[in-house]
Amino acid sequence: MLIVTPSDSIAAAISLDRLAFRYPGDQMPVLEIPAWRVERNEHVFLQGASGSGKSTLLSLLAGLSVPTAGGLQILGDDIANMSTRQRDRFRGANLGVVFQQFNLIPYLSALDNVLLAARFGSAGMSRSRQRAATLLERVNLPRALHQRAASALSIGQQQRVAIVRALINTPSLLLVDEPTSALDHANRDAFLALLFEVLADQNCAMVFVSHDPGLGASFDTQVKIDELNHAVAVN
Amino acid sequence: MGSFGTVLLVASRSLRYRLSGVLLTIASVALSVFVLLGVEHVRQEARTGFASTVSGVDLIVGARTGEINLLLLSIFRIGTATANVSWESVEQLEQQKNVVWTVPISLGDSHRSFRVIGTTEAFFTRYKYGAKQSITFQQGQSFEAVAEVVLGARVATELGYQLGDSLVLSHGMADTSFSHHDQLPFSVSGILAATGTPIDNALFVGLEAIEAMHSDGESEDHRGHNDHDEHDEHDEHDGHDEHQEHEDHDAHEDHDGHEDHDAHEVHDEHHAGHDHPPIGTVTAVLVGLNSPITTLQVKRWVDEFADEALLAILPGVALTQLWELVGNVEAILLGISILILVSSLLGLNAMLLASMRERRREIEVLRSIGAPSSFIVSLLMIESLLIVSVGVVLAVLSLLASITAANTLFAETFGLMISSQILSPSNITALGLIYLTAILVTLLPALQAYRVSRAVGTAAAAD
Repeated sequence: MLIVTPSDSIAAAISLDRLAFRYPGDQMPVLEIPAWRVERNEHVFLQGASGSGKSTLLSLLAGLSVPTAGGLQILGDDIANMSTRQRDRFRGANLGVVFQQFNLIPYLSALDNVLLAARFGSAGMSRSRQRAATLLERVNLPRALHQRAASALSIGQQQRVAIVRALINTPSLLLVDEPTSALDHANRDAFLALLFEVLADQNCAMVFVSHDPGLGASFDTQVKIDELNHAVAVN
Repeated sequence: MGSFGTVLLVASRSLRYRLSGVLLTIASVALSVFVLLGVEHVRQEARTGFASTVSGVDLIVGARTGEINLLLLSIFRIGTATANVSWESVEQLEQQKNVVWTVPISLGDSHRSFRVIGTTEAFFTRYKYGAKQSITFQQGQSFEAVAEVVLGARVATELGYQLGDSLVLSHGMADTSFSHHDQLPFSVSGILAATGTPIDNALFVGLEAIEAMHSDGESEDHRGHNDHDEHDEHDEHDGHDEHQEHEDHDAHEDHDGHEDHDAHEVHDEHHAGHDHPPIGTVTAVLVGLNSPITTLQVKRWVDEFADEALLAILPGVALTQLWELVGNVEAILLGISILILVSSLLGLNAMLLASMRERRREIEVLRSIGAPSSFIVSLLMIESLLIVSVGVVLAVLSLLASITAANTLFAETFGLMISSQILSPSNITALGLIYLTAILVTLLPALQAYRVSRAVGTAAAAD
C-alpha cells in the first residue's frame, strides 16, 4: 500500500510501491521497482537500453498490463485493482499514449484518428472537434491534411498527429515511447521542441522513454531504468 | 453518434482500406448467396408450380392401378393404361348425387411425339391450373367437328402450326409409327395459350374423333351425333353426352353405315397393340363435385365400385406424393448450395484471420486510446456482417434481375413465370441462417482479435 501523506492535496501522477512484473510463464520478474514517484506536471526522461524493461513499465503505467505484485497508483487511482473495463475507461479519459511508430489507424483520416480517441474520453464531441482542429494547427499540420488518411501522411506528420491524439482528452499523464526513433535528426529535434511547446499549457505530467541519452536535456528529471529496476536482467 | 455508430464507421473505413480483398470476398459471398436463394426460390416455385399442374378437379377416376400411375397417366400423360374405364361406369359415376361434372380423357395416339388426347369440349372450361386459372385460347376455339384439333401452346410453336392447318395423327407414341391415319386429316380449330403445364404439350380432339380414327369410315356418322342433345342434364356438351351417343348406337340405327357393337369389338382386337383405350372406354375421368366435403364420400364409392375395378385419386394429394418422389433431386441441389455458402463463409473467415496479423498494431493503438476489447471484437464482427450484408444485397438484386430476364425470355416460350417474390418465408429463414452462420464463422477471428487485444502490453511490450 502506498502511503499518501495527509499534506498531499493532489495525488502524485505516478506512484509505485514494491512493484514487480513477471511475464506469464516466466520464472523471473523483468521488473522490480521498490519505489518511484512522478509528480503532477513533472516531465520525466526515462532512459534505458533495448530489453531493459522500459516498454514493459510503460504498458504497466498505461494500465495495459497489471503488476504481478506491489502497488501502482496513477493519478491517485489504484489501477492495478481495477477491472479491465475500468482500466480502459480510465486510460481513455486520463492518459495519453504515444508509441514509437504506428500510432494511427491507417485507414482513418488524421482528424478521425484524433476524434476516435475523443470518443473514448469524457469530453463532449463538439468541444473535442474544436480542440482537435486547434491542436492539429498547433503541431503544424496544414488544414488540407486533416482529412487525409493517416497512411498517406509522412512519419513525422503521423507522430505529430499522435501527440494531438494523445492530448485530445486533456490527460493528466502522457506516456511516450521512443516517438522519435523513426525520425531523422532535424525532425527529431523539431518534434521534441513541438512536444514541449504543446505541453507547456496542458497541466500534464509526462514520462518519455528513450534509449538515446542525448534527448534528456530538456526534461525536469532524468532517470535511468537500470537505477529504478532492481530485477536481474534476464538477457 | 453512439458507440455502435462509431464501430460502423470505423468498420466501413477499414473495409474500404482493404478494398481488393474485401471485394473478392463480397463477390464470393454474393455468388454463394445467389446460388442458395436461387435454388431455394426455384425449388419453391417448382413445388407450387408442380402442385398447381391441375386444379379445380376434385377427383380423377381411372381403372385400378397405383395412385401415382393414374396421376402420371391422366395429367402428365406418361405411361400406358393397363386397363380402362367403361362407359357404363362413367355413366353411373355421373349419376352420383354429388358429382357436378365429368370430363373423360382418352389418350394414346400421338402426333410427332406429342400426345393426342380425346376429350370433350368441357375439358377447356373445367380443367384449371395454377390458382384456378382457366385454359384460354390464344387463337381460335374448341374443336366442334370430328376432324378438328386444338393444339397446346408448345405443340403449335414447336411444329409451326397455324390456325386452319391440317395434320395427320398417327398411332402410338413413336414418331416413326407405320400406321398413319392418312384417311383422316385434322384441321386446327384452336391454339391454347401457354400454361406451363403438360397441357402445352398435347393435342386435343373430340372423343368421337379418337373412335372414328379407329373405326374406319365411321367419322361421317359420328359427326351427325353432335347435334343430339337429349342428354342435357348439363349445359356443357360433356363426356356424358358423348358417352350416351355411343352407348345408344343401337337406338340410332337410322344413321346409315353404322356398325353394330360386335363390329366394334372386332375392331378393338385389331388395334390391340395400340395405346388408345378400346372403343367404348376411356382412360380416365376428371370429376368435379358440388362440395369438397363430399370428395372422400365419392372416392369411397368409386373405390368400392363393384362392376369394374376403379380407383379415384385426389389430384392434390397424388401430386404431393409424386413431388416427394422427385423431390430428392431438389434436396441434393439445396445441400450443394448450402455447401457452397459454407465454403464462401469459411473464405470470409480465412480473410479475416489472415488480416489479424497485420491488424495487431491497429488493435494496440485502439487499446491505447481506451478502446475496450469488446469494441475490437464488435469491429471485427461488424466488418464480417457488412461483407455478408453487401453480398446478400448484391445476391438479391442480381436474383431479381435474373428472374426478370428469365421471365421475359421464357414466359412466351414455356408459359413459365417465375415469381419475383423471392423473399418467401423459407428464403427469409435462409437469410437468417446465413447471418447466423456468418456470425458463428466470424467467432474464430473475433476470438483471435480478443486474444490480441488482451495481450496488448503483456506480450507485445518486450522491446
